Amino acid sequence: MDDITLMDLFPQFSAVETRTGPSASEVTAVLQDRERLREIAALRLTEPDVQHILRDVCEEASKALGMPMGLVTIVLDEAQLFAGQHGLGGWLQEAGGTPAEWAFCRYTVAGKAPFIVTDAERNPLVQESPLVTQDGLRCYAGMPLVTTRGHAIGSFCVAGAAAREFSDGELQKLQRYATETMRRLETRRVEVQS
Amino acid sequence: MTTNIPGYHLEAPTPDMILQSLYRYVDEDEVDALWSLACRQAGFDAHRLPRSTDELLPVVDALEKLSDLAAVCAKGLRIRIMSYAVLARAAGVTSDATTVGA
Repeated sequence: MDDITLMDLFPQFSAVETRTGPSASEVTAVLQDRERLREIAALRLTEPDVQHILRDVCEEASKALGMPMGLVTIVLDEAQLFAGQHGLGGWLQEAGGTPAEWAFCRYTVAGKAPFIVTDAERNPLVQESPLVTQDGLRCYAGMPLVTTRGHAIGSFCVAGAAAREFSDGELQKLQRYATETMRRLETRRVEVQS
Repeated sequence: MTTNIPGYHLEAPTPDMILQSLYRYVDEDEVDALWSLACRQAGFDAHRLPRSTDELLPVVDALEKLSDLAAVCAKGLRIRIMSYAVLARAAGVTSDATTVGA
């Protein structure tokens, strides 16, 4: 994986803030895609043991990028599920996720590409999300989690409460954590099915 | 009547919301059977249907155990119900008013 760059995976990628994305109807169409949801069902990602499998990689990513939160989200049709997390607190931890329409990760999934927010209060895609207006989320970098069957099921992301930029090197690291996360989830799929 | 949480603009989940979600992914003629089974497993029946947000939680928990797509759909609804319940509690909003099934 070290030899593969983000540009290899996402030819249009640049480490600047993402200010345009799929339309609301395009996002909804992806989130409600039956085959994508069947893939999530087949991976059994909503079961509690997934948290245990992903906890360390979330913590490692959070520390490596100096961010308060490291998360693996699974984006369902109506909500995002925190399948793995480090640094979450308050109502977000208790609820185990958020409504889908508030989730930054819906853009990562719908675009099947990195989604970068350096200052959420100034980003037209997310500035009205209650996660920004009420909970103070300001920066985010997410990499799509894409299965071997080609479905974007969620995101590996870091987030924080202060505006900040992300370097190419940091995003390359984040992509490695996303790849490792998918490897673990696909391995678990084989184990669960056997 | 639904109750909105100030700042979050999140409406209280209702039985209608769950049924609409099921209709998107499950064959129309199976939805009623799935819904009835989930309600029964959660301790409700035709004479006493779930009404409040709290009462919907065991119903979606039962749906999660029934079939693949319904389970994924139920998980998303569970998170919406939990989000509403936790935020409503913090905001001092009473989360009790739904009218479907009445």
